Amino acid sequence: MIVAQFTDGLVRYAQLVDYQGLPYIEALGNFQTPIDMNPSRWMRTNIRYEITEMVETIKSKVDFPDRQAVAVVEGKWFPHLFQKVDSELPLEDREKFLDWQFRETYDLAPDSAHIVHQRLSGHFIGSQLNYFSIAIPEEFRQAFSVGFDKAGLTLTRIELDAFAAADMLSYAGNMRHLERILLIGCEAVEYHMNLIEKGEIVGIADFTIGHNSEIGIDVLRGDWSDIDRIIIFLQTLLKGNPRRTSPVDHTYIYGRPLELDRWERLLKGPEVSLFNPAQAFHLREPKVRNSSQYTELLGTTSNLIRMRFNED
Amino acid sequence: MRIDLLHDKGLLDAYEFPERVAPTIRPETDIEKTAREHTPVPKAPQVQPARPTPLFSVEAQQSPKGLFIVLGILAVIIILGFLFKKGTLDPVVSTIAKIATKTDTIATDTNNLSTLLRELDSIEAARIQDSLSALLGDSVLPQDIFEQFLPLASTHVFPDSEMLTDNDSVNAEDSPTGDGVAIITEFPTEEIETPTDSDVPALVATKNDQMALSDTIVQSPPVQAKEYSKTELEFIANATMLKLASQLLEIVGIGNSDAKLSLNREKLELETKNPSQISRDAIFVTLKNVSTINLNSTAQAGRFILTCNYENKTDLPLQFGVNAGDVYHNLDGLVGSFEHYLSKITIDVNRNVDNNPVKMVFAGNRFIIRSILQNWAEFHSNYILENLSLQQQSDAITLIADLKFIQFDADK
Repeated sequence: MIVAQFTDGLVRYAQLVDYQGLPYIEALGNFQTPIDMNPSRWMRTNIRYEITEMVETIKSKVDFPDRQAVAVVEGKWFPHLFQKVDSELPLEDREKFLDWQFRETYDLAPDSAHIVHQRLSGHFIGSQLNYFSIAIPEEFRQAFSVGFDKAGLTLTRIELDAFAAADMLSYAGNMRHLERILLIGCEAVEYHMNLIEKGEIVGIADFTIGHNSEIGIDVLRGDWSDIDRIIIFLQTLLKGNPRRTSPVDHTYIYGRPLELDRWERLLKGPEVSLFNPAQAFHLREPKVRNSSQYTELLGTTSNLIRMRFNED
Repeated sequence: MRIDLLHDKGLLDAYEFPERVAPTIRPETDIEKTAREHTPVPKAPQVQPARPTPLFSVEAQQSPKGLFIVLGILAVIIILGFLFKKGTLDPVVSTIAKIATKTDTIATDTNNLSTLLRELDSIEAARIQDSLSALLGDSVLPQDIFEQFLPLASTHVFPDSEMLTDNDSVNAEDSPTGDGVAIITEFPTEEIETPTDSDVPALVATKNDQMALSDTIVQSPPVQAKEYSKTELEFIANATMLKLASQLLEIVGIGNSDAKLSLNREKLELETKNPSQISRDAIFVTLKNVSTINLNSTAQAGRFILTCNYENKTDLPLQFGVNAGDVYHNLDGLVGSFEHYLSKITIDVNRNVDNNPVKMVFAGNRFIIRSILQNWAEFHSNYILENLSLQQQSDAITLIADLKFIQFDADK
C-alpha cells in the first residue's frame, strides 16, 4: 500500500508491505513539486492531471506496483473549527447545531461542502462535548479520487496531517494520557503546532518565526488558553535561554532538516526533544536521513498497520 | 479511526489514541528495551535488494570539498603576503593606488556638487511633468466618460428631502402595488429638541444597545420553528450570551476589578463602578456608578427572543461637542446607505406627541440589519433610541426603530 503526503511544494511517500506477517516499509522518500496546491484550485480541471502526475512520479520511485493508496493532506486547506455542544442535545439536533454554528462562523453556503464532526474523547468538561469540525468541498474529493484513479491507484482514505502526527506520537509510545504535550512540525516557512491534553488534540495552530525569534500566530483553533505562555516559552527556546520554564509536560519537534537546524542545538532540556518516528518501524533502509520530516506520513502508515496487523 | 476526508460526513464517534501497541507490530523503543531486556526484538527480515548495490557508498561520495577549498584560500593568502613582504607586488600596488587617486580627483573636481544636483533635480521634475501631461492630455476626463465609468450611487432616500425641511415631517411607505415606488406623505412641522443633561446617558445607551444587538443578530439562528428544539435554543441563547459577555468584558477591561459580570443560562448582568478606565469606549460610559445593563434571552416555542433593557441610575454632566443639523438631514444620512431595505418611515403619525419620534422599519437578512445598526452606532450621535424591536420570519429580520432626533446646543 502506498501512503502519499501532499504539502505545498513537497510530496512525501511511503510503501508499506506485508512481509511474512510483519509490517515493513519498503520505500520512503520525497520529491519537490512546483504544483500549487492552493484550495482555490480544486474547481479547476487540471488539478486532477497534476495529482495524477505526482502519483505517477511516486509509482516510478517504488519497485513493484501497488494498487491501494492513502493520502495525507494539510488541514489548513479547509475551514476547520473546534466546537462545543451540550451533551443533552439529541444526536440529530446536535449535528444540526454543529452544522449551523460552523456555517455561521465561516459564512458557508448550504451544500457547498461536506461537514464532518469528529468527537474528541479526552477533553471533557461537565455536560459539554468537544468536536473537531472540518468542511470538505466535493471538488476536492473528486480531484483526488480521479487523480489517483488515472494513475492506476485506488485511493481508499484521506487523512489530516495534524491527526496523523498525533497518531504517530501514540504509535511510538510517546502519547501519555496524563501529560500535556506540544507537537511542533516545521515545514518550509510555516510551523504547525498541536496541543494534546489527556491523549487528545485540543488545539491546532500555524505560526511563523520572524527576525529576532519573534513568533507570529497565523491560525489558532481550539483551546489555547495559555497561548501567551507557550509563545514566551518557544521564544526563549529559540533564543537559547537555558532558564526556561515549560508550560507543557513535553514538547516534541519534527520536520524538514533545514528548519530543524535552528531548533536542534537548543534541544538539551529534558522536556524538549526531536521526534524520530523511524525507530518505531521496520525499514528497508534503516538509516533514513532526517526521518523526522516523515512524522505525519508515518503516522498515517501506523494507522494502516493498526488496521491490517492488529493482533486482536 | 480518524476522519476520512474522502468518505466521512456528519457526526463521527469518539476515537481514542491507543496508549500501547502490540510489540510484534512495531519495534520497541529504548525505554521498553531497558524495561524488558529479556524479550527478543524482532529483527528486520532479509530481503533481496531489488536494485544493484551501488559501486560507491554514500560516505565515500561525501568528500570533504569544503576543507580543500578553505585550505586553498589560506595557501593563496600566505603566498600573497610573502610576495608583498618581499616587494615583488610593489608595481601592482602602485597601479591600484594611482587608480584610486584618480577617482578621488574626479570627485574633488566637482566642487560645485550641490549645483549639479539641483540641475539634475530640475531635469527630473521636468521629465515627470512631461510624462504627466502626456498621460492626462490637455484637460481632465470628459464628463460623459466620467459618468459612464463612475456613475454616482443613489444614496438619497428622498431626492427632494432638502426641499422639505420647512415642513419637517414626512411619512414614506412602499407602494401597495409593489413597484418599489415610495409613497411620501407630509406632516405638520415639529420642534427639534435640544437635549438636556439627563438625556446623555440615554444617548450613549442607544449606541450601547445597538452595538450589542447588532452582534447578537448575527449570532441568532435563522428561525425554523419546527427544527430547533427547546433545549437547543436554550443552548444557543446561552452561547450568544457567552459571546456577548466576552465582548462586554473586553470593552470594560478584563482586569478591571470594579466590573462585575454575572451570567446564567438566561441572564447577563454587567456592573462597574470605575468608569474612568472605560470612558474612551463611549458606548459603556453610562455604566458609571451603579448602572446596569440587563440582557435577557428566552427560548420559546421555536423562537429565539432577546430583549435588551437599560436601566439608568446615573447623572452625568454634558460632555458632547457641537453637532448641528436638522431632522431631515440626519434622517437622510441615517437611512441613505440602506434605502433598498427601508420599507417605511413614519414621523409622528398616531402617537400625538410633541417631540419628533421617528419610526423606521427595515427588512433584510441579519447581516444587513447588523450593518445598519453598526453604521448608526458608529457614525451618528444625534438621536436617542426610544424603542428597538426585531421580528424574525424565516431568515428575514424586520427592524423597527423609534428614534428621537436631537440637536446639540453650541453654547452648552
